[in-house]
Amino acid sequence: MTAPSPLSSSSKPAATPTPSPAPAKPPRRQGAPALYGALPLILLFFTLIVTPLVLTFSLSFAEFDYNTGIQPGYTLANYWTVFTDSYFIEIFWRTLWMSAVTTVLCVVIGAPQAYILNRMRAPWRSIVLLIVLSPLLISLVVRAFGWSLLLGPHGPIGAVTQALGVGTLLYTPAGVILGLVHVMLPFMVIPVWTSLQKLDPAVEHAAYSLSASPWQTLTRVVLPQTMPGILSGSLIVFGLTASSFAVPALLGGRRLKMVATVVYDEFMNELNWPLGATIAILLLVANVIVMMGYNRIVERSYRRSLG
Amino acid sequence: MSFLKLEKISKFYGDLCVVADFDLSVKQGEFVSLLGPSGCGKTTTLQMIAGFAEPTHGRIHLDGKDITHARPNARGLGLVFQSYALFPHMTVRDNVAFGLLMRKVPRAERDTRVMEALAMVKLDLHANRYPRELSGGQRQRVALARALVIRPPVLLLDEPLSNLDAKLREDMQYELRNIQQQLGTTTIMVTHDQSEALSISDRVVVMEAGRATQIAEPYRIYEHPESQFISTFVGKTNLLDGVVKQAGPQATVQVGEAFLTVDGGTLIEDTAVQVSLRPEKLLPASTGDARLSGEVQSRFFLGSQWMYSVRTPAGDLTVITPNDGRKPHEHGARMDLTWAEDAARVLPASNASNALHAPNASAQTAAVA
Repeated sequence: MTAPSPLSSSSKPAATPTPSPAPAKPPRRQGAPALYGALPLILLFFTLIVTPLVLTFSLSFAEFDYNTGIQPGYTLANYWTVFTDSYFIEIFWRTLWMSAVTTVLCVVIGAPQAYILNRMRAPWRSIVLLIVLSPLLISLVVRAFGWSLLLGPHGPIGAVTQALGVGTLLYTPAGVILGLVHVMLPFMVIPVWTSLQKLDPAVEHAAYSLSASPWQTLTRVVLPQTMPGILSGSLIVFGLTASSFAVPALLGGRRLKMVATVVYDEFMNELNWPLGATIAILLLVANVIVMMGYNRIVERSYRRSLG
Repeated sequence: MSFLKLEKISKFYGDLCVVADFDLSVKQGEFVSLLGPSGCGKTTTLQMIAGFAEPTHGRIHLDGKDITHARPNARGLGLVFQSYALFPHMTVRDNVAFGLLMRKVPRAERDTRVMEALAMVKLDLHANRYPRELSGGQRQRVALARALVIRPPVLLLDEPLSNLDAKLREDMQYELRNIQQQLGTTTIMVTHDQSEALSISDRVVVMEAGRATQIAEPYRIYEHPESQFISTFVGKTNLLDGVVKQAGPQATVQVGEAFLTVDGGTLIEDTAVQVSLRPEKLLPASTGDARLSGEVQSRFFLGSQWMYSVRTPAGDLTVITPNDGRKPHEHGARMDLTWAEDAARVLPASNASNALHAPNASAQTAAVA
């Protein structure tokens, strides 16, 4: 750029005088007003989450006698019982592996489902999305009953499995997992779909232009970018499954118990509230450990590349 | 013999014709730009060459082979996308290596070629970064390196510089051209930016509504636009509606109240025409030599240039003069204008402005950013 000719400055009005500095505002205090704003939520959080949790936690140390009920004083006996009784250990173990299997099945079914959903054209996409999300619109109990009708000896699936010599799936781990997968699938499809939508469609074209086959494009370009969605989806599914109550209660029956159903038993049937509280706290702790450990691995592998 | 040949290709989406009877031959090593406003079919044409859209009619030949229906991953063409389309989960090195990996190039050769390509775009120090850790210009370079490392017979660029800011875009234009000339890669670039197309291409294809309206060297496109659309789309121009008053080698055209002398050629008397005068071809003159005189209506300072709007008997004209240190004309001052004989181009009158509206003939000043 050449320098402006001298005339240009004279033809224009002189520069406006520099404005006097605005009166200095007193520095705003940061902490207090923000805290007032958050107060309703804090109150809600404390009454609805922290208080019951603290009560349950303290209850888990209470002494209990079957004849006289809850006794004053604190003890670790409840924890000792859970850790040493093979009945409880078996239930914890069952909950763990059934949650893991449910999660894996949700990934195997949900991720391709989300991919197909994402590639659908305009009217079909919303129709199928509605079908995928429909389980969320119907009560959990109704769905569980539906499955028990289908799986039971007089239901269509029950009839088929009996004809195949497997027996009915009702009250078996397979039946419970089937019900859980159905309930949990939307929680896998939605995060995967979200991460697929963030995908630049040109990225697939770029892979093709570099001689990648459709399969290579899917596994090396699309799938790795969907991993954050798959991982957060499996986190949600695992957490919800491990603490699920209605499906195992209705499809697992009296015999096949998971942790949440045992907690219910202890509270409502055995009336041993301290033991129930202990199991509930242990389930919470186990769930938090699994999820935090998992989340750490996820964060570490994807923070830099996909943020 | 042409290296890449498009023969009468057309693309219809249902009844909608996006590209119509498009013919183009590209020589090996040539840099051709497809220039046009959005929706003119230039990107669709590029997609047909790349294989992401199938031509409804016509054939595409590459190096003697018919690739009209070849799959995109069998064509081996290099592509740079407007969004760059880098693989975000891979480092710069892995991004560039991807094409070689897919072609099963041995590891040692792959590594050297990747580093060569990165050195070429001056990113060898960023090989282990992820795309999101790079700036826009750097991502652009990675995309270019990734497309060129496979040594494609043809490089296709889809609006490659449109996401960069103005200064960076200018730098990248020259860099892109340098790299292209070094490697001798046949290149086709889609752009809506006329200055980009003019500055780095060997030839420019101006597209309008799915058709190639002019295919020529950049200078020729600018100086001899074949239609009113091109003269306004490529650069700025003053378009003046007029009527041929006197035919012959030195024809006279009446524009408004003014009579302009132009190169006659094949002009016929009493036909409506348009005269195109580029703003920078209008020169201030001393009163005696003036072809046209007017009054300065407004003045804009563009840094290296002054831009005036001058009211003349022929209509309002945009005039651009270099900022050469001389005193600029004041608002309301008289300005005498002249121009070289061949600077006034006569175009057939556009249908819209056929009607004559003397004496208040208005001149359009069309400028396309």
